[in-house]
Amino acid sequence: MSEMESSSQVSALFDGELDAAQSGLVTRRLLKDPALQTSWQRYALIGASLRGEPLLQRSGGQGDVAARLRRQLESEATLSAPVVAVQPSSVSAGAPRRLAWGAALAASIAVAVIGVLRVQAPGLSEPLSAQRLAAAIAPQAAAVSRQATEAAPAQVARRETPAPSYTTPLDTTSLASQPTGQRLSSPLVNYVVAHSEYTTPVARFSPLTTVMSGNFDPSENTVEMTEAEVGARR
Amino acid sequence: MRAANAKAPCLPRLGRFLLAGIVAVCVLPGLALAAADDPLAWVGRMNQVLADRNYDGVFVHQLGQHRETMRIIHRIQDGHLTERLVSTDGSGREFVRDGNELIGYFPDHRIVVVEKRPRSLGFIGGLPGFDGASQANYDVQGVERSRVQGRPTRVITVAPRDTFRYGYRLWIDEKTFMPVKTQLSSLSGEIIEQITFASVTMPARIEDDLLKAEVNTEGFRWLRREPPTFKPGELQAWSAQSLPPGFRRGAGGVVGLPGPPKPSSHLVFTDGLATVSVFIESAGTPPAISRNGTPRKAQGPAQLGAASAYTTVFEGFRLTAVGEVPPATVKAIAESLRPVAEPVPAPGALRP
Repeated sequence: MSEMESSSQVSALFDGELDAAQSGLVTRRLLKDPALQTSWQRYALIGASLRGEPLLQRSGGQGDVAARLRRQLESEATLSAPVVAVQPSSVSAGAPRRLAWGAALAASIAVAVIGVLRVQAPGLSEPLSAQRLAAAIAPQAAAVSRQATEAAPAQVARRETPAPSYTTPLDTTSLASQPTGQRLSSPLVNYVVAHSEYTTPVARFSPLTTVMSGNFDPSENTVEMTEAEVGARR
Repeated sequence: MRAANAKAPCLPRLGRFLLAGIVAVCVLPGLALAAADDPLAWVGRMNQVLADRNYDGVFVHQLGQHRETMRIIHRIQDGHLTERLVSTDGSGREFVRDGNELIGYFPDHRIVVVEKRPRSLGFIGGLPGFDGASQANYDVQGVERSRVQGRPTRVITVAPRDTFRYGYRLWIDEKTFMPVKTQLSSLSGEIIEQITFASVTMPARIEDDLLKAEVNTEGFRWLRREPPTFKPGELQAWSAQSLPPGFRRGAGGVVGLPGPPKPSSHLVFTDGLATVSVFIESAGTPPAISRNGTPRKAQGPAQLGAASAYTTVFEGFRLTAVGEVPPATVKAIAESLRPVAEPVPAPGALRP
């Protein structure tokens, strides 16, 4: 089993998507593999930070990762000021601080993981994996950040700097923006459907998912059918 | 003659029985073992099942962060394909394919669209045969044992040899030979698209009712999309100047295309496994703004599901390349095409 698959299974285990047998299998593998344990810690940190849980007060296995991320966060504070809404040293303890740290930590994790997963997609200048991950994490981090803002308005009212680059909306080349994203061009959808007749069979389903879920106008370039034509099809 | 045959030397019945036993014991297991380790043998069985058998399954389609659960009911009866695809947690759209007629039910738009497709093809397909050319572009690896939903499977990996194409991974059920999980992935291993069956049955018989859409179409508009008519002589011939490594002209040629206001030339390129379609039409169409107000990009890249697209304009023609390949590949192919002097005498006039 590849590292990516193992990591994917850990992610599925974390999300509660595995059945009992698979859960047992992945858990046993997790207990033996330090790399998978790191993945688990990362998922736990992301989840907990997005929920605004006080990660930094925990000790034990996650402490090392959290401390490392905090150090990285502090070192990046000047570069990612918009998301790092709260300086730990200047804020009193309490929920707002933890929430803001949660947001900051989530953003930091996004940066850290993007760094780790900086897989260059062929022919693209942008790393697709990084974009997907940022798309998955950053909006939620921003939501947590907004929550922190509401809890501590005085601390963030002055923070009007633009969003950091990794929260930039995905461009049209991003896979993550499809098929639920912006409206699609109907001719392009028609092209994809026509192409599906010629694509390699194992990938034939792929273009049709655009039609199944895509946001486009399916009535374009059609004509009304008569009752007789509809006939038995109704 | 009959007498001569009767006198022909032959093994006694016991001898023949023993010989058959020796073959069964010594040779057949070896052949079976060889077949068990041959990824193409597994692919062949899978292709056969997909072509011949009924199946009814629920699967999860994942593209990036988007997941959608769908049900597919596939029936082959007397060689006739009928298939129904239902989105169970997304748009509620349904598609019913009856031979070469495809009916799309769009409850979110309150319309039903009927169109004829050139061929009768199921929604889920297997892998075509591999020839020398395709093996120059892909490395077929296998047969690793794995499990999907607790069922034993064989994993076939078709790895790309360069960045101009994607790879495929198939988890083939050891008992049913159904592809219970498939992945489309990049050279670096990034999973672009995944289909995983949560359940699948293979009933001997599927009733008609199961193949009828459940969408209540009362008050819906019924629409028909017709393939355009065109005169072959009106179409421009095109020549590919320099294609990405391994790509060549494939089947398809120049055909009419339903959808756009005017017929488009449809050229197909393949590396033996992946295909790229190029649609060529007058740059005057389509308009900058579609009927529903969608802004249309005149040129550049786009992504529709796992398909990459790239549009460019050359001498009054708009060329759009589409395929389940990396963006760089569709861009290279779209930009490699140039018109040639003489008009197309008949469909299929692209020069390699």
